[in-house]
Amino acid sequence: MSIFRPSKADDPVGKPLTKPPSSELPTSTAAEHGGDSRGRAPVAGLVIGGAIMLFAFRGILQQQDRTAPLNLGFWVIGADLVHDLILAPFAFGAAALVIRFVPKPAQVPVLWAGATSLILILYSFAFLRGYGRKASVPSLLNRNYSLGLLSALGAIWAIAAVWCAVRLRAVAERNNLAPEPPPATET
Amino acid sequence: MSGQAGTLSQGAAPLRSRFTSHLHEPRTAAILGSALGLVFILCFLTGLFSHLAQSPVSWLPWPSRPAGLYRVTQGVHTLAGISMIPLLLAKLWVVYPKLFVWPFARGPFEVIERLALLPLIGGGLFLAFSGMANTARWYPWEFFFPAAHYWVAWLTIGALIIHIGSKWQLTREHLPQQSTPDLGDQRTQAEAAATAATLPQQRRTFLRAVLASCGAMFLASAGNTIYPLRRISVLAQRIPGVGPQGVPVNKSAQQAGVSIAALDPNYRLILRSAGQEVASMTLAQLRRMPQRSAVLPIACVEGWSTSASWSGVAVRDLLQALPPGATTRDDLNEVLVDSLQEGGLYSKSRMGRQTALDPDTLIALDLNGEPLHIDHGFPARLIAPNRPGVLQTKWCSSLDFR
Repeated sequence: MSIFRPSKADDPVGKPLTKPPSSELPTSTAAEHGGDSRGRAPVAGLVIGGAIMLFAFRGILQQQDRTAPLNLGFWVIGADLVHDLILAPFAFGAAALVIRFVPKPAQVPVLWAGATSLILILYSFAFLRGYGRKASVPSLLNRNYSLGLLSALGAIWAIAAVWCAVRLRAVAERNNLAPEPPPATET
Repeated sequence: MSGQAGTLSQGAAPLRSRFTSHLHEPRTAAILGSALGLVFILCFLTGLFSHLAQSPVSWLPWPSRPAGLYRVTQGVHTLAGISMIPLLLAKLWVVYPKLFVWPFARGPFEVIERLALLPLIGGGLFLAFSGMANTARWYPWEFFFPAAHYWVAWLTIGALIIHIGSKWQLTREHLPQQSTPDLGDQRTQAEAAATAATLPQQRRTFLRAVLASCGAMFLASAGNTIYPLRRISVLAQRIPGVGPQGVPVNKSAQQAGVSIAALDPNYRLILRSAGQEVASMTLAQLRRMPQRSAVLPIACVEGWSTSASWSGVAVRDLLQALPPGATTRDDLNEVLVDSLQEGGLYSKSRMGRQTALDPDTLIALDLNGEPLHIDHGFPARLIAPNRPGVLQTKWCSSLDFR
């Protein structure tokens, strides 16, 4: 559980912040848009990556009896659109609701459990529907996936509950350690 | 793979307030992007290995050792692909605000870079989804999964290299050190300072949460191939050890349409030399030949694998049993294995010289001490080291030594 515990203030991977943040500070905008300042990497990436993409397009077209290019394009672009137009807005909307209605110390565990649950549910969809089951192959897809999914979700939300409890306790301890305000005096 | 959110304040001010998390920033994107890039490359290389195993090329003789190599690489391929789904979605979440940056691009070079994001994101999502669907044996599309998965992997890797090139400088700036967050919407210097002070903690918690989600995906599916995890992998395609003779089955005799032919008492294994029939052997004759046993894995492209004890006749012993004038060990190039199954992509397989001459490459007659179950290929099947399961031809009808 230590990985979930809010603890140190400094990021052990990087250095502590030593200068005040400012909206004036560049965020590599010049490097990103300046062209020359980015060195040769973008050109090299474009040449190598572009050549590989052309190779891939050629392969898709050459084997079109197996790749069904139009149908494949539908699925690849469709995956992008489903993410950008449905999944991401849904995730942002759900997160906004969590932030609006869930107490602050519990928000991160609830967001984690919600996101992980959503991924597991999407992942298990085809297993739950049993599309690939064959009567003559009983060893295929041979688990009780409904029970399995419920167990996994139960474990995730149990972890989230413990995580919430740890965070709430940390907040309570911080509040207890905070100096009490001076008593009101008559003037 | 990083830093997409770093320029949000440019041209995106009206939308900036809608993405309130400060984790939409370059360092988080750089860390996630680097990790995702490594997993993509790992999946690509192991996928390429699997492709070469199924479609060998003449200039690269396929090794028969280590015997469990394909089991490991394909297990890594599927598990890394499944486990990276939260990582992929987290990366997309971090850079999602960049989608609304306007103008779309500041020059033709940037137009290409941004257009390459379409095959990168669409391809990455497609690879994850189609791989997952293949694991569940669900094919709701018109294309042949292995071919489409293979070529989209190339497409995605190409787009990834373009993306790495375009973000290389930015990633180098933000990955090794504490980057300054884009705090353009903060009203006061004090607010900005407070946010910057808590950002490392937020980022650390976020990255650990992503890692935990990846771990959850791993645990949910790894029992397919990692035996000790079989009980907790509640969404694995198989329970290893469950199936006829303790080994799972992918295609049954009924599905292959060989239920009658496989049980025919007049069964004979035909031996050919360069296409010409030179001998044939009944099951009893095969059993009278020197029998050899080997513990070999059977590893499916879908990611499940299990080891079993196989017994039968070594293919190299069958080669030596050919009559004079037929193909010999010295001039052997490959062996074509044919099945009683008529039609079907995997009713025939080809093995190179190195595999054919490996002492553990068997025409197996027994599995785990019993005659093969019909669903495992009775009366005789091929089993060879370091080979995908689909190429371990069942219900063998002939071997052609070339």
